[in-house]
Amino acid sequence: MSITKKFIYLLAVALSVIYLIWRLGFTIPWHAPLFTLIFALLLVGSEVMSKFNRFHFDLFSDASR
Amino acid sequence: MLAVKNQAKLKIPDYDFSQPLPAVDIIIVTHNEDVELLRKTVNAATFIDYPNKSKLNIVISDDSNRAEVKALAAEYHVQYVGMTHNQNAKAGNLNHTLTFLHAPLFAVFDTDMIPFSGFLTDTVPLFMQNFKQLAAGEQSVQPLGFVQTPQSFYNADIFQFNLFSEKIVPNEQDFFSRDVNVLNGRNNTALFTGSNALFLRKIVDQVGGFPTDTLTEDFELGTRINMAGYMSLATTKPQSSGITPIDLKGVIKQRVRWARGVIQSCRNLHIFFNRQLSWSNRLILINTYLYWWSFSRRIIYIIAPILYALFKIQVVMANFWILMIVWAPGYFLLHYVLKDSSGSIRSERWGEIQETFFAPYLFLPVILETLGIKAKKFKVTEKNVNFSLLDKLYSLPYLLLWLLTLIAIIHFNYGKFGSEILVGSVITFWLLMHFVNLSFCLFIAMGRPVYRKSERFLRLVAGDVWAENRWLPLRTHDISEGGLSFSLILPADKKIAKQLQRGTTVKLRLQTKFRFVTLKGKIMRLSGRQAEQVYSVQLLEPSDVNRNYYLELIYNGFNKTLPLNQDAWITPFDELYTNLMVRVKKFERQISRLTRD
Repeated sequence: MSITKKFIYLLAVALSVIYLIWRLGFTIPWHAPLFTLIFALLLVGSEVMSKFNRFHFDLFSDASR
Repeated sequence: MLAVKNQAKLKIPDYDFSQPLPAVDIIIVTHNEDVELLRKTVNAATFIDYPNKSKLNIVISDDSNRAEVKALAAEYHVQYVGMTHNQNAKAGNLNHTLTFLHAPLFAVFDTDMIPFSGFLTDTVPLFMQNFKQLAAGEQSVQPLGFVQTPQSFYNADIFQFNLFSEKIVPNEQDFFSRDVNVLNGRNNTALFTGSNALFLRKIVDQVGGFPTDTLTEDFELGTRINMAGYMSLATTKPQSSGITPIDLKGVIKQRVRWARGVIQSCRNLHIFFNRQLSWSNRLILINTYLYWWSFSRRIIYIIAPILYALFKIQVVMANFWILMIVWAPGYFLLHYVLKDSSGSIRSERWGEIQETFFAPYLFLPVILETLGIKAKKFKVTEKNVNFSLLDKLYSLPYLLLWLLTLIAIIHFNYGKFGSEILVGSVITFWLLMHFVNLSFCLFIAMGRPVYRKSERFLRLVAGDVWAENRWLPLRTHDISEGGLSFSLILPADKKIAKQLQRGTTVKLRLQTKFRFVTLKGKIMRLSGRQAEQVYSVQLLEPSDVNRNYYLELIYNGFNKTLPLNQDAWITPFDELYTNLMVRVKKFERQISRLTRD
């Protein structure tokens, strides 16, 4: 991986983290009906887990390619 | 993490003849599979290279005590261990057989996993190197527990086959065994995937043999070995080839068993709190665990935009413009980078399609198993293709979700103009993505008739055909158990052409490393132009010795008619188009047939 690529990748990771913080802090409908709230929390949780899966794989694979 | 990154690719040394050559037991596990399927594996095992073959012991481990399997063992001069009343499935069978064996190393093969001749050459030297390093007292060296070779399959999997893309997309499981597990191995904690691995006997005994309290004894055994302080490696070159199920029911059942098994094992192993696990091993296990949750996540992703589009249920409170600023740059940047970093074996979209395909059937089992509601029965995956009406029912969830998504897209955008469409574009974007994925799932679920009885393998073998009272040299194009195709090296003159016509029976001989294989067959088809005429031959059953060498010729090596990497020039959208066209044409033919009657 070139330095530029690495930089872009790190930038992408940083942006994803900012996005997740924003998602957790500012977008959850706390005052919505219970069903909606549960679904909203499941969605946020899924997004966090997906990102973990993704970055884990990249972390182990990127530099070695 | 940097230490992990800097590790070099796994290098397999040559045999070190200054070291004693270890004895090896090769165990072939069978339960109720067809004897003819078992024959191919046993036959291939007898062809495995080893510097001293007297140190090699092949064992058939049969937990249903079948007379015909015993006869097969006698025919190939291999050991037979039978048992009755096995309570613990594959693990019970293996543990029982191990009590009869004493070699320091042993390999495990499933009935349908045909080993290549290089299997031991790729694995034993790693152990010998490790023994030597340990004997020299090298402090930094961890003892080696097992070496896993990748799973490879000689028939097209359900995605490759049902999407008419055998030549474009690699086998779906390759992503795990040739990418993910190799990375785990670089961390010295490769996972054991149930077959074609070589073990250190001592450590398997030490951790109590094959675990019997799970559906995936493989995953759990591998991890227990790592926990005991032994490392595990994964090699990259396929050294065996198996059959992958291609009927919907079979594929889904197999996957559900893996999902339930891994979740069970993760509970048994307490992956989150176990103190015996190294942090990097724990991270890998948690990642594996979370992988099985990706199917539940996919369901949530599919449903979320539908809820909003159809029922105005908003689960994300966000202003469009803020979303665009916070989400879009990261999302598209990441996809841009991943285009060349996630490897050619699986592109992102294929990953999503496969995830969508399994999602409706995996999310419930994963939740149930997490809650501790177990499915205990271990079912060996049926590898025989049998399409039934039930198979068609399996496509209902896809149809339902596909229709819902379609209705949502139309309902959401109908009667909207200008900025309204723009603001809703995020929802439409996701709906469209899921719509494409679900369309693929429908195509996969629709299936495709199977015409061929045995898999064809691309093999260029030199040989001769008997015509005009002499042997004429030839070269094969592909070969299979039922037939082969070949071309003559020198173009046929009139006399020869007369003898090699459609319908005539011919005698052939093919060259192998050891001897000529003599075959008889009937010419069924002539194709190609004059210079490079291709003869397709249907074979008559060869005699015993010839059959064994012929089987070895077919199955020793990867099936080159299947791709190992994804063809990057063909996008999933081209694929979707191809599928539509093939199926439309089929439909047209049916219509025209109906109108003709």
